Amino acid sequence: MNKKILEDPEFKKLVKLQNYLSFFLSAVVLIFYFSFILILAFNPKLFSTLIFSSNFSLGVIYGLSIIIMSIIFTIFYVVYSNLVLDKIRNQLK
Amino acid sequence: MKILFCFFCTFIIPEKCLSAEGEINTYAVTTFFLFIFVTLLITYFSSKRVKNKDSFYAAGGKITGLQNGLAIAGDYMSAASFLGISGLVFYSGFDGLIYSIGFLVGWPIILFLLAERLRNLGKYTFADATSIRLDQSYIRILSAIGSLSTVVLYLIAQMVGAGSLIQTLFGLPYDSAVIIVGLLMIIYVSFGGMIATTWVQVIKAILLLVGATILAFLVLNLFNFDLNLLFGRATEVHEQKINILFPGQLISDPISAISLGMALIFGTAGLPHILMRFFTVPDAKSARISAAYATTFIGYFYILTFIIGFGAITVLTGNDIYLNEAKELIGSNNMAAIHLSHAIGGDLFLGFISAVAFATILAVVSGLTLAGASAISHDLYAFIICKEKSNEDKEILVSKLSTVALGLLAIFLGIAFEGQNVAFMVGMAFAIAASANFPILFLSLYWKDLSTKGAFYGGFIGLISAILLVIIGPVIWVDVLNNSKAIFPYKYPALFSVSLSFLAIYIISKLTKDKNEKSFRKQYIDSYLNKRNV
Repeated sequence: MNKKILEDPEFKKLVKLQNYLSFFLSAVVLIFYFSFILILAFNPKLFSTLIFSSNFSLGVIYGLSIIIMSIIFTIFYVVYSNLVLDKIRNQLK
Repeated sequence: MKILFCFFCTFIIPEKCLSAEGEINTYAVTTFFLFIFVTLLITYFSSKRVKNKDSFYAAGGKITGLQNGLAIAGDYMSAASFLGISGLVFYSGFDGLIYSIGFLVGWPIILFLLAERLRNLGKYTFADATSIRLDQSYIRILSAIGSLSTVVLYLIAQMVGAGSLIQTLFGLPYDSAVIIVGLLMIIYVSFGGMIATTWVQVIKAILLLVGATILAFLVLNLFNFDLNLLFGRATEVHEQKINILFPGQLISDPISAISLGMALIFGTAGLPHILMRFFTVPDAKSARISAAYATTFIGYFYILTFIIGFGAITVLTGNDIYLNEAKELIGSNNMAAIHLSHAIGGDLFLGFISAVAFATILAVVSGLTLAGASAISHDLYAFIICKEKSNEDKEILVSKLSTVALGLLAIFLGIAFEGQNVAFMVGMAFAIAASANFPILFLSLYWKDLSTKGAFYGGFIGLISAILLVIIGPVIWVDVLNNSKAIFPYKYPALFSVSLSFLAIYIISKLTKDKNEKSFRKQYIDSYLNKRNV
């Protein structure tokens, strides 16, 4: 039974989509976050720029975007899982 | 229960706490009593429903995604993140944001990589998931020690913070404040188990989110809802001027920066009281939804603290009512949000925010205590000492006794560490969670070659190196033990201890193979299909 499901093309598709979703989104979040940290460590001057002659510095904009991006990504993950992945799971069960 | 409740009322009311300084905020005391009354009532009703292990450890798995998302937020957002981060923003602007982001980014990672699999493979503690295809007698010991050391360190830091905060807010003596917090948390957890703990956390999260929203709203209202105007005004009045919008002194060298980042992300993903919350929902889908709600609430909250911090700069700077002779905030920078609430919302709002801060502490310490007690009763007692032959009633009794013991230990250590610098304890708790709990959990969910010996020895190497590097680093070696120079030069050890842990687990696992392909295959299939493995 277990061997059979491992060969099932639908199961393979599920594994591929789930891994792609989980690891791609994690990688993007980690890359954005660690580039933030590395810029702070190596070139903080870059974040000390005011954009459009407003009082928003690049650092504040980048920082707040990481928070907003995290929220949007988690919502995307849930919607995609609920609509696409759960459908494949229900067929396989 | 009722007798206890009466005992409590008489215990808190005495003259001593109402007459200190002669300026007790009646709104604060009213909200505070209301909170205690409601939560004790919930505990009373929960205690009737806590009949078996399932309801004690996991609230019977009946919590919905939204409720659990709120409870996670309530479990995670401590008084330190509310008062501490808004205080840091008040003091140095942008740097406060660096901390908030670190505390947040662990959350999407938990959702993408851990939440659903954890829910499928575990039952009550994260050790259930890590020991599923490995030899339990080893792995549960490691996971229980990892959990307990994280919980106890975090708990002491919370208690010391709680004692001095309540002292400042309500004029209660430090010792009584610590005792009250300790006793309330013992009552919630031992009588009401996970059901009461969950509701305390849900109510706290709602109060905190509402309180912070109103505070940020009132700040923005002063500036016609124009953030640009708020930032502009803050740069005019703050002594660092425009520099509060730019990176300051928080991040000095690349190694510390990366190390702090790793501790925050992987540490969050290895906190036992947080991981435990994923067992309270009925299925993987709800686990997923609760992690997304939690991320949203926590992220939204950190944006609010940033606005509140800048609001405090514009409103409190130069406002003599809130400053001492040295022109510093009365009661330290951590009081920025509290003073701000008084300055723009009057006594009523100050009372509300103070009571919220108190509720915040209780929800966090209750979650911690329950996680610690479960590690003792479920992992150590039921599986190691009784070798799975204990009966359910005895296991619950052990859990309740452990709750009382942990509570008393927290009270005792909270009082013993009065006035000490305990910041290193939170750092150490995160370092241990990141170096011992997280690698084992992550690899047991994803890596087929993980072996029992690899996980056991590698995990202990991570645990010990995290503790050791903090001790010989600047935070303890210099700041606490007063040596002139640290042996290990970096404040945060995670970069080294986490890498060491992963490396050791990898090498030892490659050398000592377990024969468990079959059970990994089952785990592999179940975790993609979201089937429960237990």
